Amino acid sequence: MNGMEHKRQEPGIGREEQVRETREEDHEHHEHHEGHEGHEDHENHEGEEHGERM
Amino acid sequence: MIRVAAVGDIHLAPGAEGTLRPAFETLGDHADLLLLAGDLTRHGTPQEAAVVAGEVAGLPVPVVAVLGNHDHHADRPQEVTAVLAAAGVTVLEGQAVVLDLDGTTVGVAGAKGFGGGYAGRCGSDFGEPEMKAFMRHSRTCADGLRRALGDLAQAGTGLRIALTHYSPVPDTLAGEPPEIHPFLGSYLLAEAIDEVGADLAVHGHAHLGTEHGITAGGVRVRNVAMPVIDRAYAVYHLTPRPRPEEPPP
Ligand SMILES: [Fe+2]
Ligand SMILES: [Fe+2]
Repeated sequence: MNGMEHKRQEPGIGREEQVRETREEDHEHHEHHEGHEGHEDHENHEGEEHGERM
Repeated sequence: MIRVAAVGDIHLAPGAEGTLRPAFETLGDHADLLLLAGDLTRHGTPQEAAVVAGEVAGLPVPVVAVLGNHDHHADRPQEVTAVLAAAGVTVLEGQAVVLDLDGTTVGVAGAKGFGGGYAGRCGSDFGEPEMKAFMRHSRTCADGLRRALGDLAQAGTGLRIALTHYSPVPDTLAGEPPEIHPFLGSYLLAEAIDEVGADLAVHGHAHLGTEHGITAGGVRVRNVAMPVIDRAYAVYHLTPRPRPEEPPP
């Protein structure tokens, strides 16, 4: 679950073409999954137990 | 030691109820506060904000947020803010909040921030009115952050955290196409952070970016966009240090 394949670019930013693609994807996705965009590919909804020491 | 949990770009909307709540309910075991780095909704409607409110209401730790560009899309940021505030979330825009966490004062300065780009590759206040307005908004956001950080310096909080949606540095954009960097953040935010100083700077917005970065002045920057951290929240452990230039509180 680490590669780029499950990441989505911030919608609304990019070349106009990309924006249009994103919108179409959003639209399709919307129809099929009832509006759950943004992190729908992220099944990891756990928090972090061991923090980063700074 | 203070444990700071943070996440941005959760982009919630009706249908996503309950997706983050189970993880957030464990926050009391892992963190002392939760920062939300903007893009909490998809399109910035009060209905979407209500879903966010449902995920964070009554959590065992204080919740501090800034809004993102998506939370502005419906032109109803005040309503979004009100819905979140009613759920106990402190929403900051050019403001700071001081939390007393087990005897340590933790200050969070928050501002959405804006684009404009980074050294050598940035917009400037020149030309068409639209371009000037773009850069003016970027400067206004950075000025708000600077002012809020200044308030915290004055208050002498044990820790100082800068919370934005847009990125203060290009480091945490690694993975994003360089062509869109000017839409992902602004060096003006880093200037504000370095001018006053901070223990940590947290942002979101760059979904394809990288978690770790640092400002020219040495302030650690973390991109906590959910697609980047790939979990419900990241946790950073900060140890308050006395600052020589500031009198002890
Ligand atoms: Fe986002
Ligand atoms: Fe964003």
